[in-house]
Amino acid sequence: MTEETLSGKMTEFMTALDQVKKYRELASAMADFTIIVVASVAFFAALHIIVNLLDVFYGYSFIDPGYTGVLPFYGFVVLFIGVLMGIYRVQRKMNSVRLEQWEGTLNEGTPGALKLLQETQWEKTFSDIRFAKLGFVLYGAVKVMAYWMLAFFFFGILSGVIGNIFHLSFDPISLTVIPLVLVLVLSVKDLRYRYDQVGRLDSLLWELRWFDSEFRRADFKA
Amino acid sequence: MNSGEPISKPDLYVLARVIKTLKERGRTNRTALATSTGLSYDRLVKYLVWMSDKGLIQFDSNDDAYLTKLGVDTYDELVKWILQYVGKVRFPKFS
Repeated sequence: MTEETLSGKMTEFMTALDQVKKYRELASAMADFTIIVVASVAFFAALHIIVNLLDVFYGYSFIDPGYTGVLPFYGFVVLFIGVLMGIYRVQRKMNSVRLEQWEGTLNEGTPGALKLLQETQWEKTFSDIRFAKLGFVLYGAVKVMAYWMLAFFFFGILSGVIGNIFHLSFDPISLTVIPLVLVLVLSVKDLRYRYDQVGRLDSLLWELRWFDSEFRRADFKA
Repeated sequence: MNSGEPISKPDLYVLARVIKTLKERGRTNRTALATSTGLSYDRLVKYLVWMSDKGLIQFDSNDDAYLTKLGVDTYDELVKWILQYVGKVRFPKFS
């Protein structure tokens, strides 16, 4: 058990805390993602309502009936751009987290390790881990829902094309359920990854809780 | 020696820094020690008094401080003490 061992263990410790910081940022970025996606849906819905209202006021089809079939395509494009912007925003926020700021302090050796341990705000760290867990799960759920909406629009367009060419039609339930199943199947890997990471965050929380209670009670006798 | 108010409970971080510096540099005068540990002279003197009382350091005829065997052992004990706790924590590997 040497100073190098301590330094290695402290590097693990601080890297785990860095990861928590990153996931904590993900949790706060999730709100942005939701707002952007919901805004893009609201924008498309408003557009749709305005077109319908104009139809009602003018008493005839305000938009050339030939173009009304194109509206779902615009909806798809608007939502697609919204989802892309949301993901970009989340990635940017996560990448803006400053990591490994502890390296200089840890290079001091044992004194640095002590300083880092003394300066760790345990209650804040625990609350960050809990928040990160929640954010991680919710972000996954919101992302699946956004992809579902995209798939729904896409499937709507596709069913229109299939209907025109092959004279086949899909009932509304199939139009809703098939995209959801498709998205869930395609997201299995991501969902499993999220499940594993939440488990890791959970175990980190337990380990740090133990460490905090033991270390706080301990007293070094010089 | 101007010690002012004595230290009742030393900051382990400061203590470790002073010991580590003395371990690396050997006999060191107070001014050089204050510079290399980044402590104010008065604060350093208080720590040196405390450490001398505990037998961790001694002063030679030039009034330079040096580590005793107890001081060296204490530092090693401190490393072991932290490792005793940090070493038991199993950090999950985030991918």
